[in-house]
Amino acid sequence: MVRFKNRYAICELVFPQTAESGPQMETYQVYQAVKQSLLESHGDYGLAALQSSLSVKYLNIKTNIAIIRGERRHFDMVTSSLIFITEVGGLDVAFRTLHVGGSIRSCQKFLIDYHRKNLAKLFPECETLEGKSEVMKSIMAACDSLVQAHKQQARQAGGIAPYSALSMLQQGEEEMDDV
Amino acid sequence: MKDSNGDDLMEGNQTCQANFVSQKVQPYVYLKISLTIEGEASGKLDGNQYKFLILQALKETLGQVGAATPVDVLKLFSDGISLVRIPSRNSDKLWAALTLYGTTPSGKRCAFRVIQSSPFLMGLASNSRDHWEASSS
Repeated sequence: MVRFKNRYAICELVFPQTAESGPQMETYQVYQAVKQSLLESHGDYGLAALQSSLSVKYLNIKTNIAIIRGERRHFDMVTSSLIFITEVGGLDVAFRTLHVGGSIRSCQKFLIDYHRKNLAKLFPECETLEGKSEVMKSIMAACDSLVQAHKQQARQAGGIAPYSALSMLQQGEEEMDDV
Repeated sequence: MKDSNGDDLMEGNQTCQANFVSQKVQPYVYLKISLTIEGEASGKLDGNQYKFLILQALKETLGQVGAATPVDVLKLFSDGISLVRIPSRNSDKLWAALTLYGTTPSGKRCAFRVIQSSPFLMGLASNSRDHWEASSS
């Protein structure tokens, strides 16, 4: 049975201006940029090899994450072309490949893990009080399952559970005292 | 067979001959190619222009990555025929890229034709087709 095997590349779109995460961008614009880069880097051969399987499966402007699909056999041409992309839809952008997975589900698993790790890193970078509370809310939501699991332990111990969201932030964060 | 002194003739005539066939894949493929441009005498191109056209051919079909392969023009003859060396790893794609090139940057039609190919440069020294023509004429 012939089965088309695909590879999915999770890319972070890095915008040079730190003012905002970027105005509106559509999947077809990212697709055109990837196609153009493929044509330049790998020529007619590269574009033709991936034309039928290339597509942008997911694009989230708020988190700057894009998932690009291509067939497995020629996927190294896709990843090598992504490096050379300098602009998408008129905006300056750089693609940072985070992970290449074999299915959308494995990509999703990676993304959840990735965001979870990153939230903890974001907390010290927040300058305003609102920002900090927003980030803490997200972390609490993400770690809800962990908090549930250790709630009993916290009641018994009478203190902060070892793996709660608050204790995660407390590691090296003096700002916690001000909040 | 014995000569006048009684020595065996065949003994003196024994030559050491060994046939050597290399089993492994050679690193380079040598091509003898000819470039013809419509409406132009082929002898006008110099080495730089010739190499530029080869790179244009690679760039169209195989992109920047393909044009980055180390292609060397070893010798350029006056009638547009040249000896070219390409790595054997992607030799089929490079050969196809040369074949597919049809238009020069100035808009003239052109054609790369591969006359001979060999994994050894020595293999291009003679061409059995020429022998045949010479003997039949």
